[in-house]
Amino acid sequence: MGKEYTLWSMFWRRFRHHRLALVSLFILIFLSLSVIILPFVLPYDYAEINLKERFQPPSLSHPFGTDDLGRDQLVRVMYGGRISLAVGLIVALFSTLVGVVIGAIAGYFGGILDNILMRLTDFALIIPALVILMVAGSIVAGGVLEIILIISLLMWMYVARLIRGVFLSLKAKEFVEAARACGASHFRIIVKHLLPNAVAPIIVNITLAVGYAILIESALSFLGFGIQPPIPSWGNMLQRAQHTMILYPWLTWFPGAMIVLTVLTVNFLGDGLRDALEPTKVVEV
Amino acid sequence: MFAYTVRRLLHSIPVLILASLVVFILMQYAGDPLARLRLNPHVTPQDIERLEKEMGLDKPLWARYARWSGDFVRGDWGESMSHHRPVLELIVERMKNTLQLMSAALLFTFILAIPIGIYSAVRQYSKFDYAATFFSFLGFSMPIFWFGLILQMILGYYLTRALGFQLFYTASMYSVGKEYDLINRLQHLALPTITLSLAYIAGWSRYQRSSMLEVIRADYLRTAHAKGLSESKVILKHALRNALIPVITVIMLDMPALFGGAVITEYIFAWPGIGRLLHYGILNGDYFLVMGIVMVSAFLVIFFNLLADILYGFLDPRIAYK
Repeated sequence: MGKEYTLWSMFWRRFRHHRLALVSLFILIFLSLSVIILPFVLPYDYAEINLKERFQPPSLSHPFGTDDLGRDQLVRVMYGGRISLAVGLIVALFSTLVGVVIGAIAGYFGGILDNILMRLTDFALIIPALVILMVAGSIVAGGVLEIILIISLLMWMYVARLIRGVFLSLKAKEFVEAARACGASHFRIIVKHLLPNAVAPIIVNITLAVGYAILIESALSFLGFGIQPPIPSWGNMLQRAQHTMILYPWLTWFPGAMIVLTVLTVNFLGDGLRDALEPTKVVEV
Repeated sequence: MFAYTVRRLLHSIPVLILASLVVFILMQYAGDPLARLRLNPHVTPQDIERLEKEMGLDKPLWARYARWSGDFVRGDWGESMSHHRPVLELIVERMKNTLQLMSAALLFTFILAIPIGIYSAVRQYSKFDYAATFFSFLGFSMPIFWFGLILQMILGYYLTRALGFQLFYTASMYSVGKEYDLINRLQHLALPTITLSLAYIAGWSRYQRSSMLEVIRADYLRTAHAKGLSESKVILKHALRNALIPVITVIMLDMPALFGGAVITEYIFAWPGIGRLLHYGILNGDYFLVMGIVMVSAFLVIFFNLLADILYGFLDPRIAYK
């Protein structure tokens, strides 16, 4: 007898071959552990002001240097990483959830409901997102939950269209009719019979959305309409750093490099997942 | 074609109304436009009351929206409270600068991304292809504002120190007194253009590559090869025309994001465009100004969507608009 392949082992076999995705996965795990653990371990607090140690360049006691208030940058970058990663992850999950619900309802029920929801999707796609985010961000004035909510409300459209497409093409199939004949409710048909067919693109989409959400959050915070100090986020640290960029460049290098590293690895991971989960859809990109 | 265009424009009216309504409601919470005056000891409560009446702030929301939208369609976009000038005049003046930046970025991106995409596709899995793939991932993952700051630091500051003279400028559109000096303007335009282009060079070269790869395997290309046409003629004349079609659509659909990028770029490079105006307007609760800019950006997006469809028909004669 040959070796038995489970779904999981087949997925892993394919994923392993995407070397960059594998490396990215390890970097991401390392990054996540660092932002969780380091703020506990380091002898500084993110808000601890020490005016005797202002603008210290990177050294052994302050690996990322200190800022204009003498605050240790390593602990701030790590704490900001918690915020940025959490915002990215929650926005990705929440916006995907919104997209799945809207897409599923539109695709499954069709008719006027579909028409209304798709016009709504078109509308959300056509409005200049950053402009709306800036206005909305200035109103909520820096609450982390509010920022998560408003970014999510401008990111669900792609998933909604995708799910609607899958549902439209499957809802007339025999297995759905069979389920209906057995007396399954609409909710059961949607969740148990139709949604599993879209799991792969949903997972890929969540991954890529994390990177996108981190970019949007940091840009918004950089412009002053996102996460507000004293809570550090990579975006608002850069906002503060830009004015002293030439004299104290480390304040600009580290938070920015962290954004690039995180988003880059997330994107590679998403690419690897796409190859492994949707082998039929690999359009040699 | 004309009838189609008109119908598409009519279809966009509800979108504009909805967008304006959403932002109008949001702006009511964005801060008190009279906040500064209220703190001024020389302004009496009676003055404030009079101003509120004049601006209609004492009326309910729907009445203010009705008044604003009525004035808006008649060409009166209100007066900017922070600039003390008519909003329309202010926007037209700044819009030119934004369009200048956006077109420079578009041109730069197009010139770089399309050849990179073509070459990556033709030499698939070559070293060049792998490098292009990696750098496009990097481009996707780069926060535009950080990239701008790094360019300012390296090309603006360190390079100037190394060369002994200023090659690239990092703020504003031209040096004082050199308004009509083309070289000086280009020196100011270079860094913002590169900053704004990066993500799109990454994105569009990928699209160009994958759409080229699809076309390259088509039968009509094998025929063209078999006829004995030269490689460059096959690729650039026969393949490119079809491969460009999906890319053009993607480019046009990226326009709202490009506008957003321009807002951030203008902020970093002190570019006196509409994005900087918006940033300032939001911070000062200047809601006629913000409303005006939101409407203009929505117009822009709709315009580019329409343009994408028209270009589509031009590039692909099989598509007919009825």
